[in-house]
Amino acid sequence: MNPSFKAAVVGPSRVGKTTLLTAILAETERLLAGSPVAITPDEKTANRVRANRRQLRGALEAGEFNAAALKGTQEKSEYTLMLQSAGDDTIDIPFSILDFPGGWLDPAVRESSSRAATDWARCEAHIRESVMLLVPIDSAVLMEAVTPPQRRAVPDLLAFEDVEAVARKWAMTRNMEEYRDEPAVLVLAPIKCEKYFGDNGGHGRDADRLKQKVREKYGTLLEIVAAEAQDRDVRVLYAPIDTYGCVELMEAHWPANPVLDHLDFEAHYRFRGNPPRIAVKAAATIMQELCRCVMSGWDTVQKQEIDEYQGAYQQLLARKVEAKGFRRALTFYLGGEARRNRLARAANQAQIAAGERRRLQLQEAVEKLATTPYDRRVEEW
Amino acid sequence: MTRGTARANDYQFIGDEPADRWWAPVADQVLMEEAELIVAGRDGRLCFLLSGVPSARRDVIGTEVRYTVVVEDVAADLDVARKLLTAGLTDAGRARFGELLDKSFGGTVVDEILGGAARADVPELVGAALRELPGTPAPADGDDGPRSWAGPWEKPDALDTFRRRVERLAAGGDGYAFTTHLLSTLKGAEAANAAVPDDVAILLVDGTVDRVTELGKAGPGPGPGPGPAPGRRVTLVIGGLVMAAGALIWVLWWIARRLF
Repeated sequence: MNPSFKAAVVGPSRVGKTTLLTAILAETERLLAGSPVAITPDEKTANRVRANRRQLRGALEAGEFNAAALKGTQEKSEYTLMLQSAGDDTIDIPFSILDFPGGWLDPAVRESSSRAATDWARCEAHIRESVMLLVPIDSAVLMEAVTPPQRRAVPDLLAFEDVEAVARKWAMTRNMEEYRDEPAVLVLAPIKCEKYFGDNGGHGRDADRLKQKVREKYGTLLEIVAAEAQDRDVRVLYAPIDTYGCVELMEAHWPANPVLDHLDFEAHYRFRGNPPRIAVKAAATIMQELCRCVMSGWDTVQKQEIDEYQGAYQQLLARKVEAKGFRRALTFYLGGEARRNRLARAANQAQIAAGERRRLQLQEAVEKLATTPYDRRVEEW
Repeated sequence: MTRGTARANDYQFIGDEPADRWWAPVADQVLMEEAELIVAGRDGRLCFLLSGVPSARRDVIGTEVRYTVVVEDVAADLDVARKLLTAGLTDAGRARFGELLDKSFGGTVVDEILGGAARADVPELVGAALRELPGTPAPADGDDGPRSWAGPWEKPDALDTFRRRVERLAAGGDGYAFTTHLLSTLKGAEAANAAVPDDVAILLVDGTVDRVTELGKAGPGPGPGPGPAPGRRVTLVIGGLVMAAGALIWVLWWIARRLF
């Protein structure tokens, strides 16, 4: 069982993993406003998110939008956060989200670099223990591939096989008995999809086509997860997210690259709105779901702890009431064991009561969170 | 380390990967995507890592590409060490270093290397760029701060103290000196100091620490709590037993006298 809960973002290089994470984490306060939970980043996470956010805002201020405003991840990063339940300051649940250079998904890269191989082993351990696997999808790559060479490039650009391999290991681990009590949520999150929706300042009408494409292209991944996690439920969410909201794809290019055996993808975006304002869409749902996952996992841990305290209490009680005979009774009472037994039982009872109070508080928070409506774009598959 | 144009050509070392990741103990305390400097002195070796060195190159989706440069064993060449230090601590120095690296690794050179083309001359090319960096004088006289400290990057006296620490590392001292965009408070710096076994000098690029401030390493764990030492405890137990036995004999004698 996890002492601290984990989630991981898995996608190839330049797909927008850090942009997605920043969209989710930069505005947690706003995203969780009105919900019964709050999230506090640790110092490093706050500074990391601030640096990312500064880059994104810089892109806006520059007036000429650069879809790749973030500098590109070069090292493994863990975003460490603390989930707190409003109304009970004893509930502090730590969790962390992993981001890593997408290139490490490629076995050939890992083979050629001992750095990637070493760090990948740590990433893989984190991914296996994650309650949520978040798969960002560059929707422009998926939607703008029209000609056969372009369509042929899509599996490589979105690293289907590598992502599937990771998802397989994740699902296998989630299916193991010791992890079955924990939640398992797979989120397919198309990003950069402002052009295809008409509900966030745009006029797009391709939402259904995007959904269909994701279903089609990630069907194998879903089959793999279902097959590997046969003994448990895996919740699958489809969550198309606007990480900016105020930009729109204008032109897509598919340049040939002599190093690659397929086309590469290049996109040009324009601002919409005057002045353009960041309007993140559907990211709150991811945060809600993540909180639900973490709280649900923590509830299981609490239940186990309470069971342990109850077991210990029963043992102490059994020791107290057992027939001891004259000599052992004398030792029990005069030797101080009776006092220690009484104090330990009282301490256990206090722990059980506190644990149950926390569980109740948490369950109320989870229920409230569940009643907060999901963004209408998000679907459970 | 840098990246190529294609999406697939993510950040990797071009040329030989360093055999020893000497910066690993402090890697979690810095933001490698930003302009950071790590200097380590270990066993007479002096090593530098400069991240966030800007390149004019762009990847296929238009992101600015950068270099992370690792230079090892420069203790013997104080001139190069000082050039690296200036490149690592000033925006102008870093920008100039990036331009010089682009001269050697511009065009398609990086794409070719990442595509598998063998280039054994990467260290020489980096060395040539280093030699072209402007010379830097030795820092003004003074001390290099407490054993471990944190200070503000924007304060000249903290920068000077940092430079002197690097000179000490170059002279054979052990420890780390690094800048960080990831930490911003004294508490964070204390935690970083506790996580690194050696002495550290930390320059906070953006933080709440306003002067060079000592950081304490945790000493040996707390000793046994208040209460008698084990030897004394044995004496006390024996004394107690003797007294209890005496009391018991007295009670038995008293009862016997009453009964008989």
